[in-house]
Order: sequence, then structure tokens, then C-alpha cells
Amino acid sequence: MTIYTRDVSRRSLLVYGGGGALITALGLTACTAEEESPDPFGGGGTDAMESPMLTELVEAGELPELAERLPTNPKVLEPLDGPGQFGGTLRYAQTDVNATAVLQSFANQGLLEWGWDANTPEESVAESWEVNEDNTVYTLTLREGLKWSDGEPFTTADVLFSMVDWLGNSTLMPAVPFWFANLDGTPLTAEAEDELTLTVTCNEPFALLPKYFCHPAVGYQFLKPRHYLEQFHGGLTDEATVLAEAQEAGFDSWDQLFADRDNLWTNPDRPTMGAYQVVEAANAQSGVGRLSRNPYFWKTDPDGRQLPYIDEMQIQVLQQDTMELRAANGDLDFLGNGLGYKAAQVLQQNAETNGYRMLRWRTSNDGLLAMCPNLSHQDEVLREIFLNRDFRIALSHAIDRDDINNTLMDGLGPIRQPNPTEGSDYYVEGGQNYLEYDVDKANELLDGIGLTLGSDGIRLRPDGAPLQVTAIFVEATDGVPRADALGMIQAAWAAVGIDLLIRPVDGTLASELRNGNDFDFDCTPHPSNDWDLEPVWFIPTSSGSHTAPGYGLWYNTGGTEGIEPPEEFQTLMDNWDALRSAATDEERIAAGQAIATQHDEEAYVIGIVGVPFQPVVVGVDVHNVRDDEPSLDFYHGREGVTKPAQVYFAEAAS
Amino acid sequence: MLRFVVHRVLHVIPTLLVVTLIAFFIIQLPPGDFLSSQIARMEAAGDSVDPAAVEALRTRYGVDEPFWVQYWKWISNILLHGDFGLSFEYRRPVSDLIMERLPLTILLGVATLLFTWAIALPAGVYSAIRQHSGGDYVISALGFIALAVPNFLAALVLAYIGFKYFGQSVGGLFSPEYANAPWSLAKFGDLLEHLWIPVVIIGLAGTAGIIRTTRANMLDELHKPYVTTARAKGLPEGRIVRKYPLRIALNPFISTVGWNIPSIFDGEVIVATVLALGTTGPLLLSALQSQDMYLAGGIILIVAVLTVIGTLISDVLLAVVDPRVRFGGK
Repeated sequence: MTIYTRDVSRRSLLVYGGGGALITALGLTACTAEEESPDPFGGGGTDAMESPMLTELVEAGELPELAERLPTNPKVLEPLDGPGQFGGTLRYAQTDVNATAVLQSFANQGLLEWGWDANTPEESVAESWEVNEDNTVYTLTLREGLKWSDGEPFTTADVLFSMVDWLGNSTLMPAVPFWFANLDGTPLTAEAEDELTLTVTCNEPFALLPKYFCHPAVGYQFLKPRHYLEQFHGGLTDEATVLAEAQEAGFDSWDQLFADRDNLWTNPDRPTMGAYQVVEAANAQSGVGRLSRNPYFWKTDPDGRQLPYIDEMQIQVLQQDTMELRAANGDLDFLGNGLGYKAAQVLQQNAETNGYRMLRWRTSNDGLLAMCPNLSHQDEVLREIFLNRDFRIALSHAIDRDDINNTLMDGLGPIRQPNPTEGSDYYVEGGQNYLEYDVDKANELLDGIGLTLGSDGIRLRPDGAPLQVTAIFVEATDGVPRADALGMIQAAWAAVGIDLLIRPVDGTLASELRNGNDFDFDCTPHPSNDWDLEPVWFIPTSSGSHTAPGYGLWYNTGGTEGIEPPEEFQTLMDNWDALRSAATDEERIAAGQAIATQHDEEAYVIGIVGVPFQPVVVGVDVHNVRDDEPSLDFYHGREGVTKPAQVYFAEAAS
Repeated sequence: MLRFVVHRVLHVIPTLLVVTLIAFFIIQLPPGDFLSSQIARMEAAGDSVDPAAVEALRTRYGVDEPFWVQYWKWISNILLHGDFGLSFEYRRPVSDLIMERLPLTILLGVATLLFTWAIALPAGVYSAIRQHSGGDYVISALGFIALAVPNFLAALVLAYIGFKYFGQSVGGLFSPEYANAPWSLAKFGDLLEHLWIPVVIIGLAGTAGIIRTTRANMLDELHKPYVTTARAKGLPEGRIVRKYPLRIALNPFISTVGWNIPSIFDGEVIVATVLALGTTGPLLLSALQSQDMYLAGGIILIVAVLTVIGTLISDVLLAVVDPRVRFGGK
């Protein structure tokens, strides 16, 4: 289906100038020759400057002309394979009625956004941005004439409202999130020079800030409509009035009302800057949500035609199996997030008959399953054993990863250690140690650190007790089957004299055990990249750490609680502080690489095997979806990496 | 009779209090609370949460208060203000959440109940009259199979068959395009198209018990002298069965009819979840999983009330229908 696409790339359009539309028409006709539609441009063709749906509203006098709705300098988004036509309803599904991931993927909004490479921040709501030499003062200039989805102007007042009145308000935000905090926990300082210019000042250098502006789960939180939300803000409107209103609505306090009104997913009245706006929330009754295009959306294609191409989205809330069956039935137009790897076979088998194709995207960090030893274990004997590098290396060598891969993943899964991959800022040469299956070496290392074999074949701890450890895991339907993998690891470790018990736990309990520093091993998918946005995976920065919650708590509470980390972990934390407050990119990358090197050498986490790919279903009539296997990744907006505003239906579906 | 009813109602109040107390206690038994399950879910989605912020929220929502304080806050609001509180998960009043699911839930429950009776009663009577016949064995075997196969599995298999061979969209009580549409003839037709799957699955599973009970009761009655007398007097066989033994055989049936009321309300939780039905069952399940105290507590309270009321109705009905119960025990 994508054969023709290169022929009608943006460049060829430029070359042929006015003939572009004709070429596209030829491309489309060639592509859909068997279809009998006399006019392939059911949605107004590629001549229409705006969706016919909006033209109707303009003609009825309910909406201003397109020129008045767009900013003076709209953000131009290059369509991937060529411009599309307007119209259609994109059918999508999710398993959790409250999950807002779809908005972050399809209606992402931020001061900045990721470029096509899903790594470089580029301008978005902000037309340009600058930073001073030591990464402490960021100056952002907003586009002129931006409007909220209700037509009200978007200015720095709205950004300040988010940064000062929301993030800086102790009732709404009891603790400032790390993505907007100085090292001492106070919020960054935000000031507006005028309606379009904004400065954000940090106490220390904060090189990661632009990344957080791009992060789809973070970036939108800087864009809150002051004109709508201030009436629910107890600090800006009379608190007693707001409280009374909150109680009327069944809430205990005004901040709950504020959060409810601020929820883009459940409140259709909340103005948005995203490409789509909720018109019907997926409430508990229907389980189907409806999104409609934002008539004031500020992106266009290179011909000045207002995006998004697709008019509406329908979000079905389904249970996992049902969702996968619907996808296999061709009932969904574009979905990646939540489809399990094990569904790939059914999806592939039915693709042709049911009118969709299954793309193989990479999963976020390959869904790499890993064993995380608790390096801050409460039991000092175990802690000392776990902290011994040779012990961890021995355990790594003891696992036959090929066997696990062949048995569980048809031999297709990547075998890796969870360290930054090539292309990432923090990638270091090597980075993949101790992966060979070598029982003799494992035994040798274990003998070497004085863990002698007991009479029953189980090694003895220094205190004479048998070395018995428990791995907790949360069973999940996607990714590598954890219980099966653990069963094989159990056998492998038994062969080198380590008695592993396996304990399946509920997600909540797992989180409690971790935060309580009360586990031996945690078996979990572990990311390899983008951990600078979520350091807890590589550096114990909080009690949520999978490898050393005790040290994490110590770090998080400034040394008042938790367990004091040994020197090597101090180094790790120092490097993290250095990364976070680096004045230049070189310093930041150097610090990050130091962390990666340390992980590489020390094998703090033992990687097992990952998922070969993440299935993504795309209807045959859905175009401009990337087929270069991008990563379906939380940090980069999952399906959002294909910039859904420029995705279109070849034949208008509605 | 009135005294009997009043007496029973007075018993109901402490029963309900104990039920809610135990329910509330059990929901809180698993480690953690709503916020920690929320965090676990966010982490599963790849997000990470700042523990300091969570601690502050915990205080704000009062989830770290002792059990008694939370229970009192909840129950006193219900008793004094009829306010079921706010669901943590949906951030909406519990009563709204339940009310919007109620019509479909009742529809599904009643349809299932009628389907079960329509199948089970004739089948039970038939297998009693034709005891040890081929038909009897077939009916019993089918009933037991339906009882033994886990409902959710049957639902998945049926859904897969529907998908594989009929290209039907799987799950839900409506096609997605009708879910939010206002009621129309087309929407009703769409509902009927989807309704039969859960009705058949849940309904068939319930038939076995009724078939066996009806069959056993009928067998007891069929050999009694009054049947022989009626037959000797020349009454046609069909009339004999309908007029006499069947009516007596219905006794246990009436005494359990009230139990169906709560099951109409909470339905078949797992089947409804698997099939993505917009009924109260899945709501209860997710509330329990995420430890959404007020929502789960509210649903359990309503189910408990309905159970008690159902039992009461059964007792009264039985007394009305069967003179032996009314005058017995004197």
C-alpha cells in the first residue's frame, strides 16, 4: 500500500508546483484503481483548505473564517508521504476507561514537541526558544494569534497560570513535580515579558527542561486555559464560592473540582490546544468516547491546509482480548498501544481478509524483561551478597537466554542487557556484558566469593543459612510471559546452587513491596533509553526504585530516611545530579555516559530477553502512518511518533 | 402477615450494617490503597510518580485515615444525606455511576432470567415426565455442560466464533456507532443483535439447577395418589400435570425467586467484563481491583439490600402461594 508514496513526497510536490494535486490524484487513483468512486476526494479533495465539516459551520455563521482561526504563523507539518483529504472517523480502542494516553498520542500539545526523530525538541506552540549559556534561563516566544478550541486567545497568561497558579499552588500541587522543580524542590520561576514572550528561570542549570516540554505526558500540563479554569481556582476566585460549587458537585474541596474541570478526557467543556477535543466522554455507561477536530488547531500542511486531516475519532473502551479480536476483525483503524505481542499471529492471519495491515513497530525499549536484585536489601547478609559484583555477573552467566528466547519468543526476541542502545545520547561502546551462557564461569565466580555449596546442592550464605531468594513479578498479558521465563531462570539458577522462589503478586502489592524495600528480586520489563526523563530506573532517586528503594528513599528525603547508599551508589547519584544540572550538552552526555558505563560494568540489572516487535494495526485506507518501525514509546507519545494530525483516510470513511 | 413483614424488616437493619462493615473491611484488606494501586497502574503504563506528591494526596483524600474513621464518614453520609460519596477512580458521584448503568443492567438481568425460565421449566417438566428417556438424558447432559463450562470461557469462545465465521464485531451491548446515539429503532435493533450472546451464555448456565430441581420435585409429585386418582377419573394427561403436580413442584422455585433480584443487579461480573458490557458488574470488578472504596462499597451495599429484600419477597410470595406455609407451624 505504500509503494506509491515515495513518488508523491513533499519534494516532488515542490518540484511540480501546481501539478502537485494532480500527481497526488494519480497516485491515489493508481492506488485505489479497483474502487469505483468517481471522485476519490470524498472529503473535499486536497484542494479544500479546511475540513468540509468546518466549512459548513463557517457558512452557517457559527465559526469565523479559516484565516481568523489560524495564527499568523501556523506550525507547518510536512505530511509523511503526501497531503491527504479531509474527513473520516478514526476508530481506536483502549482498555482503561480513565486512561488519557489517546490524547497524548493523537491530541498532543506542548510548548515544544518532538521532531520526526522522536528525540530532538522542536518548536510547537512556542514559535522559538532560546536558552542562555549555562542552561538556567529559557526564553520562549509563543506564536502570534493562537486560539484555544473555544476561540479565546492563547497567551503567556495561560502558561503562567499553569506554571504559577497551578504548579506553584500548594493546594493544587502539594509537591512540585521533578520536571518543574529546582534541586531544592521549589518550583522554577516563570515570568512573562509580554503576551508572547515568557522566561523560565532555574536555580541550577536544567538542560532537560526542553525534553519535559516535549514529553507528551508532561508538556500539555503547561497549557491550561486561564479564562476557563480560573473560575474554579480557589486562589483566584473567592474561595468560599468555589468551595460551595465544589460541594454542590459532590466534591470535598475546591482542588478536586479544579482537577475535574481541568480533565481533558472527561470534561468536554475544557478548551484544548490539541488537534482533537473530547465531545463525548467515554463514561462508565457507554464505554465509547468521541473526539472531534479542534476548529482552531494551529498546524497546517505546507499548502496551508488546516490539520488534522481526519475529522473525528471514536475511542472504544474494551477488555484486552475483546480489543485484540476487534482489531483482528478490522474494526479499528489505527492502534498500537495495548495490543499484545502474542496477538500478532491472529492479527497477521486476518490482516488481508479484514482490510488492515499489521506493522511491526519497536516496543518502548523492547519490553526487555530483567531481573532486578534489591541492592538495598533490609537483610544485611543478602545485601552484602547482592552488592557483590561477581555474584550478579555469575547469575547473569547462569541464564541460558537462547533457550528462553527459543522456548517463549520463537527465538525472535532481542537478547540484551538494559543499557542505552546505539543512537541514544548515553550509549557507550560495549554495554552488553555477561550475556553468554556459561555455568562453569558462574560456579567459579560464586565459589570465588565464598558461597560454598551445601549438602543439598544449595549454596550457603556466610551466616550458614541456605541461599534462598524470592522473585516477585506482576503477570501481564503483553510482552514476555513472565511466569514462564521465571520458571526457566529458576531451573538455571538451581544448577549453580541458588534456590529461587517465584511469587506472583498484584501490581498494587508489587508497588507496596518495592516502596517498603521488602523484596529480593523484582522481575520486570526494564527500559534502556530515555531514562533521563525517568531516572528512577537507572539511579535510585526514589523509593519506587526497582533496584535499590532503600537508597532511593535516602536520596529523596535528603538523607533523613532510608538506607545510606554505599560509595558506588553515591557516585551514581552524583552523576545524576551532574546530568540534571549540566550547563552544557557535553557535560550532560558525559554524566549520562558515566552512569551507563557503571551499569554496564556492574550489571546492577540482569537483562533476559525482549519482545521482537509491537504489532500495530492500520486500516488499508489509512495513510501517512510510518512504516519505518518507530518505537511505540510512552516518552514520545506512542502512536504520536507518526504525527497523527497528518494521517488521513484515502477514501473518506464517513 | 403484617407482623411477620415488620418483624423481618427490623431484622434487616443490623444485617445490612454488618454486611457493609465486613464489605468495607474486606475491600481494605489487600495491601495498599487506592493511590498505591493507581501508582501501580501508572507505572505499568510507563509513568513514574513522585512519592512526595503521593503522600500529600494520601492525606488530602483521607485514605491514610484509620478504617473506622473512613467507614463512619461513608456510612453516615449515606444514612444522613443519601450521599454515596465520590468514586476515587472516576472522580464522579457513585450514585451517578450506578444510575447510568442501571437500565442496561436490569434489562440484561431480566432478559437472562426470562430466558433461563423459558428454557429450564419446560425442560425440567419434560425430563420428569419422560424420566430415563433419551430426551431426559440429553437435557440433563446439556444442562450440566452449561453449568460446568466457565461462563467467561464460553463468552470468549462465542465471541471468537462470531468474529471468525460471521465477521461480527465483538463485545459490547451496542456497536460503537450507537453507543452514544440517542434511542431509536435502529439502536434498539442493534441492542438486540448484541444482547443475545450474554443472555444465552449466562442464561444457559443457570438452567441446570432449575431443571434438576423441577425434575426432582415433579418426580416426587407424579407418583402421589392424587395424581393416580386424577388419572383414574379420566383427566387428560396434560391437564393433570399442569393443574396439580406442576404447581406444587414450583414451590422451591418461588422460594428462590427473590435471590435473583441481586443477581439481576450485579449480573455476571466476569462475562460482562469479557464482553465489555456497560453494566454494573465490570464497574464493581474494577472498583475492587483499584480499591475504589466508596464505589465498591456502594455497589455491595445495594446488592446486600437487594438480597435481603429479595429473600423477604420470596418468603411473602411463598406464604401467598402455598397455604401450607401460611398455616404451618401453628
